[in-house]
Amino acid sequence: MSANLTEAQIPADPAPRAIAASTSPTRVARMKKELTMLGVMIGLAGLTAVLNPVFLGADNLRNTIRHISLISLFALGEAVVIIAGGIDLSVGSIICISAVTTSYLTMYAGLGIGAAVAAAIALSLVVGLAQGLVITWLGVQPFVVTLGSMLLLRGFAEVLTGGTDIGFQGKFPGFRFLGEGIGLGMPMPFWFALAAIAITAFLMHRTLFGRYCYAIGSNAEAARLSGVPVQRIRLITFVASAGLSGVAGILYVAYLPSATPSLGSAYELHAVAAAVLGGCSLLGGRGSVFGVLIGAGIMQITFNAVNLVGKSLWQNVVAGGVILAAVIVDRVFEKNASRRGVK
Amino acid sequence: MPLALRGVEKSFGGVRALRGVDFDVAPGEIVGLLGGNGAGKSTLMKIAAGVHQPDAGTVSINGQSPTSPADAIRLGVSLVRQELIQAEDLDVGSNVLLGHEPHRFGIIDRPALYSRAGKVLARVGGDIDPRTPLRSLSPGQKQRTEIARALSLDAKVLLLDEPTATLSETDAARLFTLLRDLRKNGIAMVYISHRLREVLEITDRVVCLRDGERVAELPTREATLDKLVELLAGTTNVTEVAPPTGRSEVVLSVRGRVSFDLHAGEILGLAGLVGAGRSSVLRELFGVRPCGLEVKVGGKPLSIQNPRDAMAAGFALVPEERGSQGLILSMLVERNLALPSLHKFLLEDEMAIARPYIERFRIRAGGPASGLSGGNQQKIVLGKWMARDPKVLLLDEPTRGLDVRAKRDVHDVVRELAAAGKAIIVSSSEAEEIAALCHRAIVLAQGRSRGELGRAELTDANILRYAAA
Repeated sequence: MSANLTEAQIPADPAPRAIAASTSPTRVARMKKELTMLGVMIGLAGLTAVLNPVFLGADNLRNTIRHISLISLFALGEAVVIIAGGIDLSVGSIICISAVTTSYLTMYAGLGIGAAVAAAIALSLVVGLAQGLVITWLGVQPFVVTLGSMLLLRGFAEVLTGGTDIGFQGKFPGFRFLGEGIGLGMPMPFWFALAAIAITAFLMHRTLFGRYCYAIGSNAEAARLSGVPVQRIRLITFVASAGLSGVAGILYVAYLPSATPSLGSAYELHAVAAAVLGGCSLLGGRGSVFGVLIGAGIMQITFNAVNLVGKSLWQNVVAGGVILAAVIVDRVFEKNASRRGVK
Repeated sequence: MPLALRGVEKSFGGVRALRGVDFDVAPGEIVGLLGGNGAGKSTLMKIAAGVHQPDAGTVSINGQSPTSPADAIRLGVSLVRQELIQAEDLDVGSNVLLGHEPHRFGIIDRPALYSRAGKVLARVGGDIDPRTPLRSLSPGQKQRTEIARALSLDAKVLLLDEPTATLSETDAARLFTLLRDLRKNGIAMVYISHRLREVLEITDRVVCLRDGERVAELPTREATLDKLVELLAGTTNVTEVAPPTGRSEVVLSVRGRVSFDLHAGEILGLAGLVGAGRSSVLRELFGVRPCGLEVKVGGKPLSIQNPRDAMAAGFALVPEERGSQGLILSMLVERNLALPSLHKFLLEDEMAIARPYIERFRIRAGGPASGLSGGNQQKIVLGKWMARDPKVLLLDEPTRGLDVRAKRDVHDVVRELAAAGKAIIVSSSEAEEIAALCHRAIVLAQGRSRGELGRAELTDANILRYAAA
């Protein structure tokens, strides 16, 4: 009976207004968060350009694009996991183990670069699959499972490398081109990121897989009762995230061109930050590929700005500050909007 | 008088829940409060417990009126509900004294906590150790722990809302022993229950509400089961229900603790009180929980492991909780409507799938489902399954919490679906709803079938009689 009365507090529906066929105004409204963050990114870029005009130099711009591309790769995977209601803390360690595997197999085990890359990608996918199975079959929380493999893989990377760098020593120029080269005027990682962005955007916004990710992240129980294969989809998100991290690791080692056991430290947190800046909710069900790109852009432009101003020790202070400021600004906007009754 | 309410009125959004109700309870007395769904029982109790303030009239607890639940507790009135204690991982003692822990400079005095909790737990049966984790207790023990908490706060009046709904018979019997004991010690109690036999067994006096008005009061020794049923059911007419079409074809056969053959075009009711096991039947048929029933669809045995199996067999479930199970509230209306119908890798045109239902139910699309009224939300839940054109619809409390108009709309849709040859099972705790909507009904109690009522005998009074057993 209490339910009856709660219901009674909701006034009977007024005469239905326009039975909307057009969704255009709401689409803009739904992108509001991303647009706010786009503004933040442009503002940051402008500020950096004023503080040090080198920011707009061709070399610096290319380098910034290279790094935004690399961050985007693994941030996209993280975002897919987060949208489906999970979290992946193993991103940085998978980047590292993928890079270390590639350089170790070529330099110490005598494998060709193609075989080494294939092995590194396969290893990343297997890690993702294993994590996904523990999470979905055994029902262990993603945070705990990926925290465990974050430490485990980082440890393996240290053991494999003996704690030092494994460099390519001038070998494999063709492979290194993938990381450091310029193709069609753009750094090569840009083209990898572009492909990943296109595929992820298509999957998340145009396919059943994407719709199911959002449904699960919003309300897994209702999704299951609607016939969504919840565990299968969640499993795929962890495999996808690990695969993208593996690719990022290979591009990092091609760029650097060496693998150190500390490569990718804290990158999982940069990925989470990029996702959240881009409009993802850590509770799941919200976010877009476009937003994640902007998030990755904000992160990298911040790092770049601090370096250009010559205060590189302040990198984390500023990055942390920007993250907090951005989400606070967004929250304030949202509160004002809801006070005005705009959904 | 420990608790006296005079001329209490309360409206919610223009709906009058209580119309000038008087109610008292004396020390050492158990008053049974009866009424159908929406009669105003829970509102009355919430007003007594300070949760709501009355629009008119007075609440007096030993001469003072409560302004908040905390205030009511301080004055000695406690509402006993199982879900109030929620710190499942804390031990029983910590739960009993939650917020009132004995401490020295902020450090909990554990020996004092357990001895104090132990003392009050001894009053409620003595079988509960204050050091055991709350989650290891049976529902009945949790209930008595809640009563212990009230006693530790020096309660003079206990308001018990459906205290036996989730209890086993042994637990219920223990609870009754405790209530008699408390009565002897001068505690005043209000006992809300649909279980009429329990009301006859434990109460001293019965007050009956209908549509927010107090319609009857009598000493329990003058009451009989039939008398209570008559008071509860009021003067309802037998509703006209069009006979089912296409009776020949058996769509679904179920055997087990509930057995029936469901025909195309038929609306079968699952009646029974809250906790009678109606939802479990539907959830098992839909593969939400392991199925303990033998199921045949179109004559062929079917093993249902998960909702996808059930959907493939042509089933649809409108679940009990529309907000948390039926809909993805933050998702757009049209996406909710299309969700179960999507099956291609490339997203289909969701608006095309949704449009017939948006137009038919005159619902605004383009916004999240959370922005709609409860009635329209429920229509979306119906629509999302109608879009799949299922053979068997399982409806769990399809009109719970809906206003009269929305309820009628939902009933119309259900009748129309039956006329179109769908086989439908409606589970409801409202006897009137089953009587108004179904061709026949099975009444459940304690998880099993207690009898079947054909159309001719399907009245709310008969349902109540079986359900109260």
